[in-house]
Amino acid sequence: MKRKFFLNGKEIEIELIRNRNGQVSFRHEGQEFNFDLVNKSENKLTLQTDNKTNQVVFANGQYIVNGLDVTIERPQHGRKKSGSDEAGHMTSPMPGKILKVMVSCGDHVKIGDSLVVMEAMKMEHTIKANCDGEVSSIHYKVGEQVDGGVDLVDLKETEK
Amino acid sequence: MQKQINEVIPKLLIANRGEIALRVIKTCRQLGIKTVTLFTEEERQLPHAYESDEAICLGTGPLSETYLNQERIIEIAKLTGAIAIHPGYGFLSENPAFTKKVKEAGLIFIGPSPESMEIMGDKKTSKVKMEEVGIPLIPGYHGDNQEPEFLAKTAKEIGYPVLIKATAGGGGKGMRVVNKESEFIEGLDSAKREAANAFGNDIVLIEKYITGPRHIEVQVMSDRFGNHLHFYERECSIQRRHQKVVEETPSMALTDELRKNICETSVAITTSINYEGAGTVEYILDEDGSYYFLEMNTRLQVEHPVTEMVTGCDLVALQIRVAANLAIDLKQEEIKQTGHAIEVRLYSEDPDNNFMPAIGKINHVGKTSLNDVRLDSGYVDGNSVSINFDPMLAKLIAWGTDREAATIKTLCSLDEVGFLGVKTNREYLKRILVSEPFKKADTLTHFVETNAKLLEKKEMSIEDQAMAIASHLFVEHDHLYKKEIDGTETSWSRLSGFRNV
Repeated sequence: MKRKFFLNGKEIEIELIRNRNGQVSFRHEGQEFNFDLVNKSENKLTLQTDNKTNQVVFANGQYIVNGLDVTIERPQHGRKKSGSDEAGHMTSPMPGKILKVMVSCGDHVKIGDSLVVMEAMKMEHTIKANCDGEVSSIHYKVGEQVDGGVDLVDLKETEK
Repeated sequence: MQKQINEVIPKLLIANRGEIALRVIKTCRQLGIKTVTLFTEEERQLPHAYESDEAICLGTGPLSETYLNQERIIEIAKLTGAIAIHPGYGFLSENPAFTKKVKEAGLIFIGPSPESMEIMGDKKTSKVKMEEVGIPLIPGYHGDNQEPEFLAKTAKEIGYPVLIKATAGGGGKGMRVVNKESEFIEGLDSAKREAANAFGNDIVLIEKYITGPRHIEVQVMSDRFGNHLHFYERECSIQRRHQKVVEETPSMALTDELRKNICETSVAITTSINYEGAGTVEYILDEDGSYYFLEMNTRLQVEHPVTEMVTGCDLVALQIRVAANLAIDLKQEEIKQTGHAIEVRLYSEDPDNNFMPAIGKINHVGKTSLNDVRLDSGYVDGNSVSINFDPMLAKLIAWGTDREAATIKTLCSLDEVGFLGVKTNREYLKRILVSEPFKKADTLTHFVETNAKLLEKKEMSIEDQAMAIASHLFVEHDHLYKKEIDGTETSWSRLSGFRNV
């Protein structure tokens, strides 16, 4: 049975062979894997594979495997990482306050030009243009508080 | 019989938040001192809002109305009957005006005098004072004579390599490193041209260029009875955005003699200004063993735990003792460094995305299980990380018999303290600690930039991905079917009414 997941934002598909009685088997990237569940507490799993024991710390879809942070989401919950904006839309990386607006509507900007400076967590963040274009709208003014993930500046992308 | 600290100071107010507030509470509990803490409305669930004996809500609003509101804080101290105020670090800890107001209100400020803060708080006046006392400063020329011949002569006196810096400068503009005498005039012309273009001002200063800079600092502590002590050094070279990330003691770059010199220099400083309380003197150490005064912080520092772990002393207790007008009953010869301690700072940020700060809810902090490992965390499970405060969540400190042992313990403990729920630099800290430069103690102040490629996130192996998937399947399965873990069918445990025969 095929199962899809988003692992750290990347879509992966496994072939699930077995999943019961504390044992899972599946095929991933051409290899077969078998794991036994030895112990589980509220935030820790103990797995065994090939006589090797591993501890995994977890909470709410996040895991620490071999010291590495992993987030696993099911397909309907998978979403684009907030860092990647659609071309022409610059969004706020987190809630904060607008400190400076460096452009006006109608300005022509190049990719990488600074558009807005906002303050969040006692630090300044410069929001830059992610494409060449003309500033079509600026949604906030200096001093306004914004939520995370909202459109700050829209650009009309220049035809290449 | 000598007076006890808690007879002089039965109750104190902590004018800070997060992990340092909890740190002070811990020592106060051990000394039998009652504590009063402050918190803002959005911090109601944070431990510093309820671990003290009394807690007062500061409501909502900008820092100027809450943690930086001097009059309000003093008023709360008087209302609650607190005899003293501990400022922690940051916030009002190095504010002479606040210190004066506290004294005028008849309360005790846990820290140095306003005069000490004023002298050492200003980069210019502190350097002037240091020159008087004969403390080494980065050799340089900051004067008005801009004649190229004169500057070349000065550079030669300072000793190559030198750094030519535009006085009006910033952002690296108008700066030139000159390695030999023959290249000086060219470097000078180039720097001046760039400065004139960028700032309209081509005045330059000349400084010795420190090629292998390390950040070494010395913990000092003085009482009001002429005891000026040091608690050895800390190395804090690994930084990002001018904030420290990893600190350790002892420094692998110091020989016994260099350590003795730098510590005695620090005591000479505190003696010369008649200092009282805790402080830290910061230096730049060059490859050739020369060290130069940078600045002095007239407060307790974030990284004080590494010093506590190797000396076995409680620096907060000593601070309170001094403020209570009691003598520190320790002699310098009795203070020894044993073993090695490393501290790593956990920040809510994404190191793989330019250290962009992160917010969110902490689902699981975790616990350390190894001996001699300490977690100073300002957050517990369920707490939300907000944009209004510094992104440092916690400090993890490990002590070992040597540097390798301390490193191994830190690496292991970093997996136990997952801080799941919000993006942190936990994994990045592990990458630092396993890197070759760190193992060799090649810790210069530009460590993070120089080793950026080495510290990048690596692609996860197929095996590790599989383990993560398996874990997810187990958790999902367990959630769906609520099976007992030892594999026995739950239907048996649901049966009731059977008698043992």
